[in-house]
Amino acid sequence: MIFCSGALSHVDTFDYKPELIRLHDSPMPTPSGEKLITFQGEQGNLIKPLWDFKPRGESGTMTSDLLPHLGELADEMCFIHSMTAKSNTHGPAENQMSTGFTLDGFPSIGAWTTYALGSECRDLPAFVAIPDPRGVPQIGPRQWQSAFLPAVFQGTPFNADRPIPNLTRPATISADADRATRDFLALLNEDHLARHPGDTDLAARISAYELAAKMQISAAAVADLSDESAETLALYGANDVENSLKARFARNCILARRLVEKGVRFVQLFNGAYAMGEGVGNWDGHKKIVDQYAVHGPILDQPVAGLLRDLKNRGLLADTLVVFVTEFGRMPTFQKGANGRDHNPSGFTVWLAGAGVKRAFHHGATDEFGYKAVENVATIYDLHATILHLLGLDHTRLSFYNNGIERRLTDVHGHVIEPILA
Amino acid sequence: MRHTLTHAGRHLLDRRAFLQWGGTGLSGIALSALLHEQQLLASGPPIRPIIDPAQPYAPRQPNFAPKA
Repeated sequence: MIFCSGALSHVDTFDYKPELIRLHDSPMPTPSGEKLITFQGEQGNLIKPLWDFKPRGESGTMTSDLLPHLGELADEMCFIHSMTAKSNTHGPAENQMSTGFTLDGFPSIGAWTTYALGSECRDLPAFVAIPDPRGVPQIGPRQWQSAFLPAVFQGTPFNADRPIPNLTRPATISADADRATRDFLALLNEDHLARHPGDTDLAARISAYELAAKMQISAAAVADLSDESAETLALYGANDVENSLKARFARNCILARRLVEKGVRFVQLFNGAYAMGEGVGNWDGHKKIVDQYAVHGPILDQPVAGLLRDLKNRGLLADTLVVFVTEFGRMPTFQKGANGRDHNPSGFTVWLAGAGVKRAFHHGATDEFGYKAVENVATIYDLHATILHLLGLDHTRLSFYNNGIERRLTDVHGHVIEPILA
Repeated sequence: MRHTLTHAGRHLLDRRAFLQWGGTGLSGIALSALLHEQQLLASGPPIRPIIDPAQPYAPRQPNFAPKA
């Protein structure tokens, strides 16, 4: 799951609206001519896409010049243009996209997945969250929390810049001393276990520590990209010396592929960070959207396109599902007196690619300006239901009993979006 | 005094309760039938994966054949 933090504008990327171009710089018609008030206030005129749209691939899918590398892969993508979010505020909306609920305190979709399916990988975490080189989204670690699910199913955060903290042996302790200590610990543990036969909690705890010890070695190896070929680095743009943020995000994308290759069940890859300020390190372009997106576009574009191509070339896309999401969309208008777009949870685009979904497919639509979803309106519950379905899980039944309720990722909602299934 | 009837049995022999139960009980059955017809009920009992505490990451079977 690729998460664009800050709310990526659909009208400037994947949702082509000729009417928006035709009526550029005029007020958006409202049913009874009332003022349009959104998250930050009153809206100004309709503003055409800030980057030109062109037909891409054999399907001729219209995508914008902001993300040309991703545009080239339009034939691989299955677009949902009618996505809607329950909140117009970053925190609750991020919560909803990652946990199904706008409130804090619910397990993330990656935690549900690993709770249900375990892992195919014996020496790496089952669920890895890869934060952007610039930092984490607004809700931070709640994006990958296990909440009331057992804590082992929470995401382990690390990226190519910053591997899992505290894994390496301090320089002052020799390898021999380290091994001797570990052996001695194992001896004490075995002795303790022998004196408490049948204590499964104790056995579980010992095995958890042993798993952690194995991860110390393999997690360091998986994050070491030195064995990647020059061609691979170039494919992702990881060798870009002009744009170091792009190169660093590209290394995270390579890490994502390596984790998938090793059998890690769920990888959440973040683009954009919250703490740098409104739109500075993320897609929250309220006031200076052209300047800000001109920076963010190249950081996202080639690396994610490289990931998709690499997964395809290695045959991994056949049984890997890629989901590209953001917390909500942006307005087709500029904010009154500002050069940027406000929050819009009423209609936006997400796309899927890979296992089990149609290629070059478009599901649902927004109105003629890209303001509200009007055709085959989809909810985040529906998206989650569909993702679980593709993983072989029934979203109406996969449950965890907590605080008197059989909890589900989709609460009491959601329908699998059948038309997008291949 | 020792009752030979169960609590539910005694309840049924109480005329007022019997008539009440006749009404609400039947409506309950009718409601669940209607919800079932419109496919608004859960498709089955909750599925809670069995986690072996010694091997929490052991691979587990999905509910049906997956695509991904």
